[in-house]
Amino acid sequence: MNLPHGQLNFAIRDEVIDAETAVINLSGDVDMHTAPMLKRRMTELIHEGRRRFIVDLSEVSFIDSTAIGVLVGRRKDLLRRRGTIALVCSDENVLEIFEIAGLPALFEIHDSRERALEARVHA
Amino acid sequence: MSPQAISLRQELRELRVPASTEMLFRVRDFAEAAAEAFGLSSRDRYRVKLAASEAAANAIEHGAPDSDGSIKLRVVCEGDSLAMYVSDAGSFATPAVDPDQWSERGRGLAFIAALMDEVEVTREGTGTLVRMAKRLPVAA
Repeated sequence: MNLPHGQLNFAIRDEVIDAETAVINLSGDVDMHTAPMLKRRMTELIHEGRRRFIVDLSEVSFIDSTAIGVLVGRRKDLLRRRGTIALVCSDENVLEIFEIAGLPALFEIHDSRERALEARVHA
Repeated sequence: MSPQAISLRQELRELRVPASTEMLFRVRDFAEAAAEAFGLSSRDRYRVKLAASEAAANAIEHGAPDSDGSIKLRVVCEGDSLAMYVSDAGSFATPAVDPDQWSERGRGLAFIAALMDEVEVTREGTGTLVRMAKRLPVAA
């Protein structure tokens, strides 16, 4: 794909579900260039007091080790706050990078946003 | 970049981009197009794309922040393997590279090793060369 100069194949949109919970919707490529935007937004939300995160990767076409590092780093921040990060992902290519990183144990992975939100209620 | 009509076999494809992270998408497009021309499966095309992006990201990170150097990718068919070479330019103003520096760079190299069949990192002058190869499965 050829993008006009300056246009990124990336978008981030967050929704606050309740006082503690936020859903972060990512789309496009989350790589070394765009992952800092994810880090910045999650850090802001954590400082606002959100501690349960659902990161929806359903619309993500690509994710790299930098992005994994951002998620692992926020998970560490949230541990101190007894918080959690759940992921929504069913793309086998994207899931493979989490397996390679040995991370399924760190993050609950759901195949839909609805299931992730439901799991939160019962957590 | 439109796919070449000529088969990739023996053909060398090359991409040179500024060492900036906003160029990573071009690296991925280049790698994926080469993998497709080589005949790799959909899953392997993705792995090649990811490995190329990881290697390029490392090469970009390795350069000085205000360097106007570039990074170079070459793709070539080597026997039954698709080989990619990622190098950062010798103009990067970095201190002498510790041969183990790659292991301090985080997960990138470990990912590449898990995704590709072969990985080698060598020093060339003041730069670094990464060779990654993915074997084409034996035809049924």
